[in-house]
Amino acid sequence: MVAAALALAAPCSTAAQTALQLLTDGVAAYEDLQFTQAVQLLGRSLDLQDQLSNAQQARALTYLAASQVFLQQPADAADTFRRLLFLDPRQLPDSLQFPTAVHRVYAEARERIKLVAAILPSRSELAVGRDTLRIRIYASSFHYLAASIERSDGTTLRELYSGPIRDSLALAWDTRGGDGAPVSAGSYRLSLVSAFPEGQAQRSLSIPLEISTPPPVDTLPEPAPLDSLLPERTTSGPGLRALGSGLLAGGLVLLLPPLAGAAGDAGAGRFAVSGLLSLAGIAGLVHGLGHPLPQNIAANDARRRAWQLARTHVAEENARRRLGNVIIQSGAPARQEGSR
Amino acid sequence: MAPRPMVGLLALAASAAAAPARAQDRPLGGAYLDGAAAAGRIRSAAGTLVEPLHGTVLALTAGLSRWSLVLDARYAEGSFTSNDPAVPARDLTEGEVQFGVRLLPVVTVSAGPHARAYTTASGSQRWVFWEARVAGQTALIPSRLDVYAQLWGAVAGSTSLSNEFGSERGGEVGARLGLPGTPLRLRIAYRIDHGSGTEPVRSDTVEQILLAVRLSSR
Repeated sequence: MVAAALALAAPCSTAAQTALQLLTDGVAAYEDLQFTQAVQLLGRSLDLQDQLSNAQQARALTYLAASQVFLQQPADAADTFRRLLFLDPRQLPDSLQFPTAVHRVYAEARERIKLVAAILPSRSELAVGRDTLRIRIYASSFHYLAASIERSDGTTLRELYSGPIRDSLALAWDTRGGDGAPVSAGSYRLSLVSAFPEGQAQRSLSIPLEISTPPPVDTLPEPAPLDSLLPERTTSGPGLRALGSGLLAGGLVLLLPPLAGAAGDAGAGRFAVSGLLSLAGIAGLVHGLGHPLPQNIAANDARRRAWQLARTHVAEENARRRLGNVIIQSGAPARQEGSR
Repeated sequence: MAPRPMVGLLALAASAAAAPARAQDRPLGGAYLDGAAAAGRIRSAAGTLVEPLHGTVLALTAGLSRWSLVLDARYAEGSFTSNDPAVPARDLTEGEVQFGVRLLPVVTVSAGPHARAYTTASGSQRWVFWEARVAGQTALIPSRLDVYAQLWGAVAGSTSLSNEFGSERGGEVGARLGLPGTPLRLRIAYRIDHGSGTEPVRSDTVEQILLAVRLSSR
């Protein structure tokens, strides 16, 4: 069984090595100014493009187009650059590696072709009403773009954008339809139509979107009601105790002479002291009667604000959870020439 | 009035007040120094003869506390005269030391000697009392204003007079007001002390209305 597996794997490995070796040899031939040989080697390498990564394909196409420019085959070079732009509109020849003539052919080809590439996550789980599907669009050159989410039957669920695009564009879809309702599970596609400024559609890019809805999540409980708040005013107890203590002390001044056994010897000055101590008790009463406690009031306000914030957060989160989540899986993009 | 004893006690009190910086680091320790001026009255009675006098008293009190233990010392001097030309003027000198225990945060019991001397042109009379004392305080405005009371009584005593020692009781009640941002407190109080002897019957009552400033370490 191992031998059979090795036998099956061997041709693929050989093909991959061959495509990569052809690319390496083609680049070496270009650098040796053997442009005819480079065209042959790079062309054969691209015939096996399935074994090359996008970056390797882009490298092969760029060197192939440059070789064609040096071979005075501008039309072929333009076609090769066109293939490069279809592969990825962001690709361009290295300005230090290739001469101006190559860049001129590239720029002309890029200006003529109107297409876009889209970058979006292969899988996203989004909360309806909170998250958005973020899509990055790259354009080959200035043109007009219409972006929308379409149902499987081709009808439009939601228009995302319609207008000019120069270099790139960021789009966001909130997973709702044009009527504001959350999208339901099913097959959809992201449709990107590139058009001439006159409005004629040149080509479109379609990316399948498989949308599913996971089971709903339980809602959060409401925050517990606020309790054990700090007292915001002093109680009257300390004030009344202070009054009682002051009056008691004042009374004790009057009682001291008889307690000492000198009732007949005491002077009248003690009445003044007694009155002062009673006044001190009244001062204690005034101080201790129901005054606001700023520190406690501030602390309670902070707790109330935090509680209100938590309540608002729970309400928002529960509203979002009731809407649920959607899972979006994007498929391989498909390009189509002309209007669909 | 002889100033030297007062100077000595001032030195003692100053050394006690030097403790505050260290005592502040100790949650259960503290010291104070208290200087008072008082308007005083003395009524001395011997049989049916009564000698009323009035005058001023200067007093210095210092105290230390550590954990629940309290040590207080008081020294006072005063000069008294009478409106009755027949009653000779006299000087009052008092000193007392009380060693106590704080039973509750606001209640302290203490005991110690209390000596008093009257000096006249013709001689001096001395009283020595061994007192037991209970003191309490309560705040009217926390950290700002409080009232306090002390009651004492002698469990033993002696006198230089020909009398036998009879009894001694007294008390002091007052209020203390803290001055914000300072370690100072103003104090006003009423104080009375009544000592009596027998065989023959004789009594002395010393009454004072005090105004004091207290420097406290906490």
